[in-house]
This record gives sequence, structure tokens and C-alpha cells, in this order.
Amino acid sequence: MYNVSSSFIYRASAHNAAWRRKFTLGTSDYSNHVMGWPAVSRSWDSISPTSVTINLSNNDRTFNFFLTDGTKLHASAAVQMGLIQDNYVVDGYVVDGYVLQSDVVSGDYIDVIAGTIDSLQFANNQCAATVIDKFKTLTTKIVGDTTSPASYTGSSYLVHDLAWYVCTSHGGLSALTSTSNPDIDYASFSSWTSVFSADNVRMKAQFTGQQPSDILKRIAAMTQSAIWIESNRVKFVRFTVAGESSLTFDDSITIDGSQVMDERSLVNKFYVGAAYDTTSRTYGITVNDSNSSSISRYGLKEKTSNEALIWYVDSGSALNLAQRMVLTGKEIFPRLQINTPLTGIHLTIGDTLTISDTHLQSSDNYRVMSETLDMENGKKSFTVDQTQFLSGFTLDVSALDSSEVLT
Amino acid sequence: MPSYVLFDGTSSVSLSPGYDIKTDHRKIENEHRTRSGAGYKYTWGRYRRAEFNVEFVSSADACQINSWWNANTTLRLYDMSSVVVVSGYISGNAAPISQLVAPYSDQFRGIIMLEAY
Repeated sequence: MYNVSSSFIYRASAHNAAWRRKFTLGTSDYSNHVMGWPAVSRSWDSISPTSVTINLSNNDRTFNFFLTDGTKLHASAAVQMGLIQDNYVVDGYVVDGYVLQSDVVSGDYIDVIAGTIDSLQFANNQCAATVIDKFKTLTTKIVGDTTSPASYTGSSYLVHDLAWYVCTSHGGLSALTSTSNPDIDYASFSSWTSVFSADNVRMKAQFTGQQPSDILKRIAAMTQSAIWIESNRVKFVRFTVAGESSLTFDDSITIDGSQVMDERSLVNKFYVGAAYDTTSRTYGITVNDSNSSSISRYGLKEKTSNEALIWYVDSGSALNLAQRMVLTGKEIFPRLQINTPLTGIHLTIGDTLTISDTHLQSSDNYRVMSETLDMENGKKSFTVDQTQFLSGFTLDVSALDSSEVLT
Repeated sequence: MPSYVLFDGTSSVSLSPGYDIKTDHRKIENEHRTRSGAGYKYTWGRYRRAEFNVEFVSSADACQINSWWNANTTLRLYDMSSVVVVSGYISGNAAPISQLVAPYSDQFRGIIMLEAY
């Protein structure tokens, strides 16, 4: 959830909420030059930079200063969305042209995307500026090379230690181990570490020129973790039991939506290779986990994970992934997509929400897996499901007659 | 006839538009209708606009107005009480004052559209 005040959440639910959009370069506000606002999407498992292109009016040559110095693209840029107190209009400002709104009253703003300018295109008295987020720094460097690989094979590394080295030593993000870290959401990282410390999940790795973002993507896939940018910091989460629902989306705050049941998401037996030998290119160990009641209901759905750049060192660590994959893949869960006004703008990946649909006769809690904020039209879309929901306990009635012991 | 003045900070032109003068406020907003019929209206901004016909504009004033249009000069339109109605540019793809008023050869007519900048 974005860090906003309770007042913000209350005002965001108003049917005539006084939204404002901001585009800033450094400390200068260029919002009045924006001709069209972007739609910004994020997904829980897409570990790559988010970028948006904003068309700016350059009739008055405001942005020509970029043309003389390429280093100015490194200036910080931010696209924000927020609320002012109300739609009160300051009539006296008419002489300044457009009627200024009450921006004189301080507002709450969410960083929709913050980073640097990635590229600029000047044409037809316009300037198209592409803003890219902090993940960019994780795509402009490589770790090791084919002649001198970066080896993490000397000892066994806890998952989070490996991720930390990739982000800080190789990716250039801040290594500050406190919540003051400007690049990494240290509170979430700290919680993430406890998952792997508790289970002593250890890895080894050898990198031959991969980008830090690519390595993080592999770590996320091998641990079924979510790694994304929130409030301009990298956030690490492995979803556990879902929290309370933050908001109920019933017919009164849902514009439209869809629901999908897809058997392709099923996994009821999962294999993981471990103890990889970089010379013989084989795995010394292969472990698996399965769910017999899911197999009896849906048939055998097998998948495997054989990662050669990063690998688990022992069967216990590998089993951690196998169990997780079966736990989250043993059932077919509905996947919902809803379009809403900006009432729930503060909700983001990982948050729990309730969706109540009178036509589909369903009302249940789901976790947000991806989101899109349409700044131009003032809409927000959520894709939610229960694959990573992990409710405390689900009574599997069909398995009651089996020989399995419920634990 | 109402009396108005266009002023660029240095030069001014007095105009007597017809009573069809339209000075309006426009909003930039989105409206959403939910499944239950609830309406959400988000207003992003507002701007002012004025549109009026003028006749019997002298050739000197016509030149001045067309020059402002050509240079996208920022102007203020004052009403008869010296209150600013709109601050903006003269918009349009063609010069605003371009037609003679018969039977004169030095009096012009046209339509001025002013939109806030």
C-alpha cells in the first residue's frame, strides 16, 4: 500500500475527488506542459524497469535546454498523482491565464513513477520524454563475464544475502542497512530475509555477464517472491498469509471487469534440481513435492526448475521451493480483472481486497498481483487472484475420505 | 453594443463586439459510471475562452490584431468594467480579421477566438 494519510484515503473515495497530476524535473514543476498523461503498469513478477512516455508541449522551447547537454537526462524526474483539499477555484488567478486550482493548499501525492529521463524525442513543437524508474540502474551493468565469471561458489549463501550483493555491490543501489535506505525498502527486505533465515535456504551462483535485474528475476522465480518498485524503492516480499481486506470493490465502485479460470496454472508435482556442478553441468540432487488430492482431482500436472546460474545447495533448500510451488499451484483459482475509479489508488501489489460481484454471485478476498494506473482517464485496474493468497486454512472436503492426515 | 479592449501590455485595441459574444469556462474532466450506476467525476483543470464577431475594425487595428494572432502574443481581454475576462492567445488557423465590410475599403470584420494559455 502506498504510504498515504487516512485523510488521503477518505478524500480519494469522493465521487468528485479533486485529483491533480504532476510532472517534475528536479524541483521544477512542468505539469502545465503535459499534453497527455501515461498509463503506468506494474506486475508482481515483472522485474524490469517501468518506463512511461509523456508528450510535452515545447512551443515555447522550454525543453531545449536538454539539447545542449546530454548529462541533463540524468536529472531526477517524477510523475505524481495526488489530491488537493477540494475543487475550490481561486478566481483571482484568471489574469495568469488558465484558472489555477487551489494548489495553494498542500496536497498528498503518490510517486507513480520516479527516476530519470531515459530518452527525449523532439518533433512538431513537442517533446516526448520517457521517464524510467530506479530499476534502470540494475540493467546498465553486468555481473561477471564469460572469461572471469563472478563466482558465489566458495560458500553457501542465504537467498537474501545473494540478492543484497546483486543489488548493492553489482547494481549500485544503496547498501544502507536501515529504513533510511533510499533505494531499497529495508523494512520489506528485512521481513523477506526472515523467511529464508528461518528455513536456512541457501544458494550458490556463478554469473557470466548477466544484468543485475536478470539475476533478481531468477532469484524471484526460484523463491516465488515479488520484487517491484514502490514509492521509488525496491520492495521484496514473499507473500504469506493475507492480511485484512483493505477495501471492498462492489458494484458501486467497479466500472467493469472479467474473471478467468485457467487450468494452465495448475502444478501439483514440482521438481527442483540442486547441487549443480558447473563443470559437468549436472545436478547432484533432484527433489520433488506433490499433492495427492490435487493429482486425484485434476490429474498429474508436473513442472520442473533447473536453473544453472543460481542453484540450491542442498535438498532441504530445494524442497522449500518445491513445496511452495505445489502449495500455490495445486488448485485452479479464479483470476479477476477489474476497472475502477480512483477510489483505491493507494492499493498496490500484495494488498488484499474484497471483490463482490452480484452477477457472478461471488464475494471473496483476493491479492493484487498487478495494477495499472491510467492517469489520463483517471482509472485504476487491478488483476487479482488467490494463487499467492494463502488463507490460514482451507478445508478440502474432497480429501476428507482419503488416508491423508490434515496438519 | 458592449465595449471591450484587447491589450498586450503595451498596445491596445478597443472593440465593440455584438451581443453574441460568448465568454465561457471549460472543464477538462473524466466521468465514470459504475456497474450500479454511481457516477464519478474527476476534474483535472479548467480554462476560459471567449469568441465574438467584430465589425468596422480599422485597417490599423486589423493589422494589430492579426499581428498578435501571427505571433501568438499573450493578450488580456478587458470588459467595460476593466475586468479581465480572458488572458490568452488568439486561436485559429487563419488570421481573424480578414474580410472587408461593404462598401468600405478600410473597414474590416472577423471572428476573434481567445483561449486561455
